[in-house]
Amino acid sequence: MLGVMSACAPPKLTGTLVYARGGESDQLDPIHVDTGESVKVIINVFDTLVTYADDSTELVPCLAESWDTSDDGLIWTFHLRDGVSFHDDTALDSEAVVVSIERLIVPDHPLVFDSVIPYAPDFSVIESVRAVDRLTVEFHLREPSAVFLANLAMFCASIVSPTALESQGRGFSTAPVGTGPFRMEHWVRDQQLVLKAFDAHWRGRPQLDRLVFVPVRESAVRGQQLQRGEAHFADDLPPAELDKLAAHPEIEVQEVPGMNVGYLAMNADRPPLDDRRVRQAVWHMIDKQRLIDVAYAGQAAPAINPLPRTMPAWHDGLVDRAFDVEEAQGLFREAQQDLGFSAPLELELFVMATPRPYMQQPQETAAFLKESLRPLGIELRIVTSETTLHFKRLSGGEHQLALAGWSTDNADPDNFLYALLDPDNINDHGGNNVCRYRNQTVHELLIEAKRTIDADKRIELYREAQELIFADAPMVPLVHTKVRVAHRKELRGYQLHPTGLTWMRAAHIEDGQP
Amino acid sequence: MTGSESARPTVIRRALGSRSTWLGGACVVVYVMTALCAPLLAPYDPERLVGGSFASPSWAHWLGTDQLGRDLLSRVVYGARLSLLAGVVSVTVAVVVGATAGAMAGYFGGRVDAAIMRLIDVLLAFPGVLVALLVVTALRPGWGPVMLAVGLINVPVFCRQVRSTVLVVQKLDYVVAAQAAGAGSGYVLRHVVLPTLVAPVVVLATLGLGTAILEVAGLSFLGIAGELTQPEWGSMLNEAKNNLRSWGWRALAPGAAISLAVIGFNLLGDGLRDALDPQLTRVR
Amino acid sequence: MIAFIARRAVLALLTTFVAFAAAFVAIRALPNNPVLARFGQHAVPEQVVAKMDELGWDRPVWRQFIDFLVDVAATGDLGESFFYPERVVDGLARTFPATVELTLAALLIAVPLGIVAGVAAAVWHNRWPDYLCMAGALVGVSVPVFFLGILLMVAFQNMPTGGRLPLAMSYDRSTEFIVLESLLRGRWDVAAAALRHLCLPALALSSIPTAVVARVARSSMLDVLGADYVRTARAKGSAPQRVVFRHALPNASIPIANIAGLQLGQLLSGAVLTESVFNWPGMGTYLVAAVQRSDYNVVQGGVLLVAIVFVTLNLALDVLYVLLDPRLRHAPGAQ
Repeated sequence: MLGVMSACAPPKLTGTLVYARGGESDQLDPIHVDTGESVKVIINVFDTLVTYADDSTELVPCLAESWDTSDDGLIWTFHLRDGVSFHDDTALDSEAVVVSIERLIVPDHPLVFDSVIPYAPDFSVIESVRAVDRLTVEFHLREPSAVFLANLAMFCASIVSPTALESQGRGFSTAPVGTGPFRMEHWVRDQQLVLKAFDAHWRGRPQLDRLVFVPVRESAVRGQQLQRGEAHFADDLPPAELDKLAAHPEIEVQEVPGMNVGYLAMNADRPPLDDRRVRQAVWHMIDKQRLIDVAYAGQAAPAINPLPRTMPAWHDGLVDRAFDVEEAQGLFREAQQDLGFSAPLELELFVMATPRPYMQQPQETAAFLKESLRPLGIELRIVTSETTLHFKRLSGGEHQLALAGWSTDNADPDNFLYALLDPDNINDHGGNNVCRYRNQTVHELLIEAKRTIDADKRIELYREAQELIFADAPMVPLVHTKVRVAHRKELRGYQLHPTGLTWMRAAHIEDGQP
Repeated sequence: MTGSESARPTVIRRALGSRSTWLGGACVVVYVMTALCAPLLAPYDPERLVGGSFASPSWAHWLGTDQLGRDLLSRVVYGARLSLLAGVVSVTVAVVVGATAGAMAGYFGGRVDAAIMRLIDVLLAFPGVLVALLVVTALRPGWGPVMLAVGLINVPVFCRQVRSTVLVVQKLDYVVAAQAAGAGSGYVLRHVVLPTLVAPVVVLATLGLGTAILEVAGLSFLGIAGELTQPEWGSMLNEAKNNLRSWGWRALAPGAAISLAVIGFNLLGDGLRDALDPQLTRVR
Repeated sequence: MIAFIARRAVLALLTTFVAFAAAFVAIRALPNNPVLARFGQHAVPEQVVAKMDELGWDRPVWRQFIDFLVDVAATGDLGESFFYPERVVDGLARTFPATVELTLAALLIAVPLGIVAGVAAAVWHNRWPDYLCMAGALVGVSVPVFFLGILLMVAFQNMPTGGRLPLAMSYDRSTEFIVLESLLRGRWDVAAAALRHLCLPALALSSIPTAVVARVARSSMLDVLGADYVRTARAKGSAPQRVVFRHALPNASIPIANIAGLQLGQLLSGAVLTESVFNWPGMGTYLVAAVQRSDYNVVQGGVLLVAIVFVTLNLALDVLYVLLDPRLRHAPGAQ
């Protein structure tokens, strides 16, 4: 039997994959991070209880083989896979799951070594988690939640090795131990982060020997390295650069419609943007297709509403406001007569200094908007800030107009509409409703949808909310960008996931090392 | 050197006799005229989207267009404006602050001197880019703060030069005589010391303009300056770097423009230095 | 002499301390809030407030400064980065060697080349080598280093343009002086790869020091060649090479050594642009990133190191100057 297996399954197990990326991971303890560069590594080192299917955002078993729910939706029982072990040979059991989840919800947990836990609110619905037996875990929720299961698939709910946490303490964040397909080998910050295949992974040993993450800040250099075969995989490349790479015979570009939205936020607390005619007029002035052509090299879809088009709750019945200068001027003049503000209207547009996945070229987008709004009698002054400062200023409401955006955390509509447009999220400590949009009806709909388990009923609630939001125009949704990565053709078996996350467990290199 | 009337023709003759003055002067004149006459020279408004994305050079767009479809030639031409403005403003800041501090240090000596020179030492102990970055971040990114920051990091040069000139001048006989005759320190500073400072400061300011243009471009290349809608050479180079494959050669025009402007000011500064005072002390 | 050195050393210490204090205050005056930055777009208000309190960053700056000094005195440590688990001293030990190797490589190009060019220009004064040297020096100081970097990257398409080692090369090391260490260990393959990666960045970075050294070498050679003893040597019939290399160059070497030393200080603290173009993991980019994120401890620690290096170098140069120059040696209260 063994002989047969080894005879018929000798895919090349050799190979080092070099992954050139734009930045460095901060640290690798799943509960403490918020940056994409950290997530890229974490998802390859850890597993979660549930995960996404290979080609969709459908939730499928991972470390949990199956689960069931009580009738009132308050108790969830997960049955763990047997025989799974961590990289340090600890066996996965229910206690490990309890520790991993309690680190997110129990204040001052003894195995938490840093008090910054960005995603804690997403798990506050969990009242308690307990081990029933070696392989059974029970979650008690405070109220029924439609997003609870999706949140368990997020990287921050990764299952960590309790023994490693205990023995390493703070050191865990640079030498993480999970059950994932790759284990940590070594890390020289800003130079090289090396993962090694985990021979005893429960899905079988991954086909790559080593996975080397290299931060290369200049996107042009990443492209160059890919062409020369020094790197096999590169991401965060500028759209025009990617188009050139796609034409290269040894390089393949993969893309998925990203679950994100880039938008122009209009601060409703700053007159005359509190008047919805003004906001609608701004909307009418923006030729989204042209914007996509010049600032996204055509690689994005125009947005009508903050929800990504790939979500089931996306409202397919809404028709975008046309690019129509006359219509815009009509609305604008009407508002101007009623409110009596002077023209030309000078407004500040806040712009982030570095690209985001949903806003790949903030400066170009800003320049485009400045030119777009000029005919309406709006003169923009562009104020650029370092990215975290930009968002700090936005949540403090310092802006009039601002470029902003959002990428999915858990592929759920709540994560867009509630996060970005609910009055609960207006606060100057990082609140994400930077449009300062307050609509009581929308608020009630969003809260109800949060608690509604029935999928169809939930979609109905979200559709209604989307209609109201569209009419009020608190923001101009600009684009849903595509997530695009480039890799050399000898890298096989890699499929870019719809969430844009880069799992490497199935990848292998055809011809060995370059 | 004393700034007396009779010396002036010699200085001018000497300055005009030097090839570097002529060459540098020519570069500087071209540069300043480009900046002043940008609207006449540039075929398009540099901020308007007048063509397709990344268009190749053609009769309509001699240098092609950038990603948004803005005319590159127009942007290079208009780039001279911001560059010149930034250079002049930051050098003015450096001269005013540096010369005042230097004159005070040199004239009053003692504790004042020690305090000022320690501060200058501290400023020098910081990497320039870091100081600029701190200033710009604190004041909100934009061209104003960038000019201020570049001015600040150039203060030590002027401060040291002025101080050492003042120290030399003070020991000259006629200054000692004026002081002995009961002239107040204000009078001596204004009428005796100040005229002798003009020559070295003019030379340093000319050279400093070159440095300032380089530094402003460097900051905007690093993306610190912030605003890319206005045409500026450093940020154009930054764009070229980000799209090296489609843009590599497009770095040539803004890169050459910066280089020529700086070469111009350096040549002119050297020429003036030789003409005004062959023995002019060079301070580091 | 000793009194002079002692006085300069005290001043150097004072300068370093003030620079450090200035950095401490300045970084806290920035509008950014590092605690908020840690959360990205997922801030949790209660956690932010709690963390600020925990770190004491809501207290007055003078209070924080005293707390910090007490902390340093107690632990002997400069603290940890706020964004990732790494001690500041480790971060500096990781990035400073990269900058040192780059700087030394640039000076290894700049000093010999500059001296040769400067000497040639002086010997053939007002002839074509002189013009060539002066023109080259002018271009060297005028062309922006980032433009030069881009040109080099485009021109040498098959040279490495980023990082210190090939992407896939893993090399177990105890310091980040990669070239030095691999040479000492006899790892020729690593040394060769590291040197290849050093080429373009060092070339770009060497443009300004080469020009500066050439100018100084030229003018001090011109001074010396015009001096009496050189004319005497010539009159006595010494061979021209002998005049230049035995009599003139040694005497012109003091200002050259001085300017090279000053350039060393400049490059060690100011290679940010070159590091940025060539993705060089040195201290410049480390500090710039830290300022942009308001990573307090890293900025303070970095400024402290830069100030120490700069001030020490200047002190050493001053002392050397006095020791080397016989005219200054006996002057009481020199400088």
